[in-house]
Amino acid sequence: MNITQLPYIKDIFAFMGSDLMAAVIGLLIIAVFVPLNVAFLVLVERKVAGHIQLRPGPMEVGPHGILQTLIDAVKLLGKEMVTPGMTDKVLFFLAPILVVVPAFVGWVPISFSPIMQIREMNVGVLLIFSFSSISILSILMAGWSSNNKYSLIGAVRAVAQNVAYEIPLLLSTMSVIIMTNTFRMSEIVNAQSSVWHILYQPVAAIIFIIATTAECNRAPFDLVEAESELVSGFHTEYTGMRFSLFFLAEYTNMVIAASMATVLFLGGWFGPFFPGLIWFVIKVYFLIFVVMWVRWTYPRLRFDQLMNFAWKVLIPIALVNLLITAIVLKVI
Amino acid sequence: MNFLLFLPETFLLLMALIFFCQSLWKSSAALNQGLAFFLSALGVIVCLLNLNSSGELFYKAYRVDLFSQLFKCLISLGLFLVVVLGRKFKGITEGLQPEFFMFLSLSSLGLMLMVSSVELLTIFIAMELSSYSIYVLIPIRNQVGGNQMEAAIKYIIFGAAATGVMLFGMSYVFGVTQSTYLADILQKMPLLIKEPVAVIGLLLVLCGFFFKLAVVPFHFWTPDIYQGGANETVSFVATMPKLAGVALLLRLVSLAGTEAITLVQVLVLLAAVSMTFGNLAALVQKDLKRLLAYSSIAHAGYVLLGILTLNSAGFSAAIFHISAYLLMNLACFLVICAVSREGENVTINDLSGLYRRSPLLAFTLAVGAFALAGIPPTAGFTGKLYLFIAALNQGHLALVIIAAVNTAISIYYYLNIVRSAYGQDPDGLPAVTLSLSNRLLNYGFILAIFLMGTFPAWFIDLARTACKTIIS
Amino acid sequence: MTTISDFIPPIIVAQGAFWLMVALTLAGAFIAVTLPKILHNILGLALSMFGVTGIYLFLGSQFVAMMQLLIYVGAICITYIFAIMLSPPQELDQPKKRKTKVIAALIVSVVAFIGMIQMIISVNWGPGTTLTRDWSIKTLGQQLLTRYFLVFELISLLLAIAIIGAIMIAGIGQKRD
Repeated sequence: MNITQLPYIKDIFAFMGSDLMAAVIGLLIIAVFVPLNVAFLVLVERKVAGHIQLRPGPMEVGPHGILQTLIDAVKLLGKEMVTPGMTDKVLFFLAPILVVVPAFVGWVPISFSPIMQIREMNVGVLLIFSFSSISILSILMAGWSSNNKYSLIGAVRAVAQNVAYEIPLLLSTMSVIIMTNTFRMSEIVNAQSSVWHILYQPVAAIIFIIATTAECNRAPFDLVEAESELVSGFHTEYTGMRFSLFFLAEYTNMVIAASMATVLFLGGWFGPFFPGLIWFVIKVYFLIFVVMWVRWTYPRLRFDQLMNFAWKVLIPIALVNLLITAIVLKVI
Repeated sequence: MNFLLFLPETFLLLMALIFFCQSLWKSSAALNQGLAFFLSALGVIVCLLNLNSSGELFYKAYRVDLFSQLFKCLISLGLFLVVVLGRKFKGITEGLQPEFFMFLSLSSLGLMLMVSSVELLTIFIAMELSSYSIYVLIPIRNQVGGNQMEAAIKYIIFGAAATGVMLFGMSYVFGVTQSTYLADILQKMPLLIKEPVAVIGLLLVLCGFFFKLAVVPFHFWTPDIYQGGANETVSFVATMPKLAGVALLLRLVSLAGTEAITLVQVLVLLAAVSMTFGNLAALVQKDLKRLLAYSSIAHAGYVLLGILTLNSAGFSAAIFHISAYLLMNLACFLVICAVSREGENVTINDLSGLYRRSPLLAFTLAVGAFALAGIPPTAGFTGKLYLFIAALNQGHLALVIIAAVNTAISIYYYLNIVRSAYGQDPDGLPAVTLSLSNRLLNYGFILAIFLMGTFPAWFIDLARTACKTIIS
Repeated sequence: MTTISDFIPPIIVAQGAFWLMVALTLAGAFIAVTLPKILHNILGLALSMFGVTGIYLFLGSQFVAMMQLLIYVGAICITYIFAIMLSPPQELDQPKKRKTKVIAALIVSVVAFIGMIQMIISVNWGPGTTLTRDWSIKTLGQQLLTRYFLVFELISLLLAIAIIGAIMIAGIGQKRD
């Protein structure tokens, strides 16, 4: 078989012909932006938490403590990476590496502004969902290979939770997709030039945000690493750089989820006065702020409440919402 | 689209839905059994009313013709007979009877869809529909410490393997013909049948149905499932999938055209091995259901005799024999279900002196066993006669001789059953009382087996007309 | 303008990526059948499925590729692992494999493999369908609701049966405990 004659080879490897500088810059931006952004978000999280709890948060390093997380990152980099005995060495090593794959791949199809998008794809939305499954797999690998009961329980919870919340997530996304008839990110945004989808699909938007919060294992759905009962869940045994990779993935997934919500429901780059990119960033960070706000305001759910909420509340509502959307679209 | 054509299937779906609703709350067993009786009887009537309809549905993926309608009638009749002969369903956990009936009707639905679909993927999914239901049916048994779970798991594993082989074959067939529609394949296949890939592809597809029919390389599941499943379940599993299996074998083999020499050679080999293995293994069995399992392997071999002729005489003989097999096998299972007191398995010794304990049952058993052995004037004899003649006309003399020798061997163990029922004393085994419906069913089976044996012409004609619709 | 293709020809990258995917598929399949621990086997299966995803991309269907990843890696393999993690560990001894049996199986499978390969190579498969653009989502949708409509509907019935049956069997098992 001659591979070069297959259709699409050109399409798949189109970037090979594009500007070298652009490719290098794209890679650099991701590689630099992702860790820095995570450092920033961790700081924001601690500050938000502090102010919600009527305390200032970290104040020591730099003015108002803004360099605190950078110092923390350096500390984590310098720490020894301990591999406990009796672990499954290969999987223990692979899990933190695999967990960041979706965190990097997820940036590829997101359209930040009309010109700023690494690659437009026909299946952009699906690509992010598909690769997010790899992060669940690596959580499982981490939990199982640690040979620690807390890790294992955390991993089992992670799977149950992720499988359950992926269904309302996909269903609520579907109700936007059948309105726009496309999986392309930029076309979904363009469809919202006059009215944002959140006005047409308020239910889907709320379900989407709840489900992504659960998918990212954020409070009040952070049963996976509930520190009061599980030490810290699936990454209990991880130290140093490996631990920070899990941390990195978690916060990056949060940004990707917020970006998707922005693209799907909040009109992407559209907004008055400012250029598109700024609007996009504002919306993303607003969503992240909301998620943090929720974390420090609401207590953690019990596990059965969590599962029942997904299967008995979110999924039926999402299904009905999808059905109504389909009927309305058919009638119009 | 004319939805009247889809009426038998819709009816079975409705029946499944009714039992699904019944399973949601506590319902009395008598009500469920009554419902099952009534609905399955209605199902037979619906199928008979639809016998002569013909047409195509669902973008030509589903064809309703005399061939499919004939098999649908047989399937609905089989379902009805199973429901009647089970009657109290002693072997089935009482709380799970609504589910049992639901899966029974869903499995029949799958079989009906199977015989009517003329597109490979539809055939595959319909077959899975019936298989999945059976996978679930087998563990429902009211017997502590029985090996029903083991039987179910064996069935699932063997079934999955056979399905995998079948799908692999389908990929070859699709590769050479570029279509999953039988009508398209029929145009290309006879030209390609000399190519090894077409033969292998077709054979691998047939494997899925060899599994259903328990032809030799795919027979391993049979004895264990027969032994592990409840008597009522096994009476279904032992007969109904075989009907659909034969139907699909006929449909697919007819795709090959008349020149498929290699295919026929393989079928000849399988038929000979199946018959011989089944009959020899049956000689030493004590458990009646195990014995019937090995006899079913042998009968699969006999039916292949008709299929490998590749002409309408052989095909109609195969249809006749498998219909007769439905009756005589169910007659034997009727006796098993009646003799078994609490749904346990029945050994040959349990039949001792049956002629004193219940003369009618003993006679039914004798008729069923004679028919399975192929002794005139029963239906089994006539079926075998037609099969042998059809095979002889195609020049398969050696195979027919093997089949005849096998028939002679098989008489030994079938007569052993009858000897146990008539020749031995009851030894204190209690008398078997029969309900009115079961007594009527006994008479029905005896009459039907003799009638089919003595006046086969109308059925053979019907089968031959039906086969005309699938042979190009 | 400098482009990457000036340094490395795209064809070589395409070839390399294709064979990498083939290698992943085969390696995954090999892990899935050989390693003793069941969790490793399933992860091997996931790897194999991931490789198949890549092969679908080369065949020109991004949608099917993504679905493969989403369903086979993201749902099926994870459900397997989940079920295994929830079930109590059973330290069963590996049954002793008899040497003659292994050798016989090996010979049979090698012969079958060679035969199959021979057959596949010798056959004129006819021209494949040519794709002009990525029509996979739209065409798949239309095909599913026309030519394969009945299958599409039957699959939902099949899944319903599987779910009801699984719940029922789980109930039977629970009663016994």
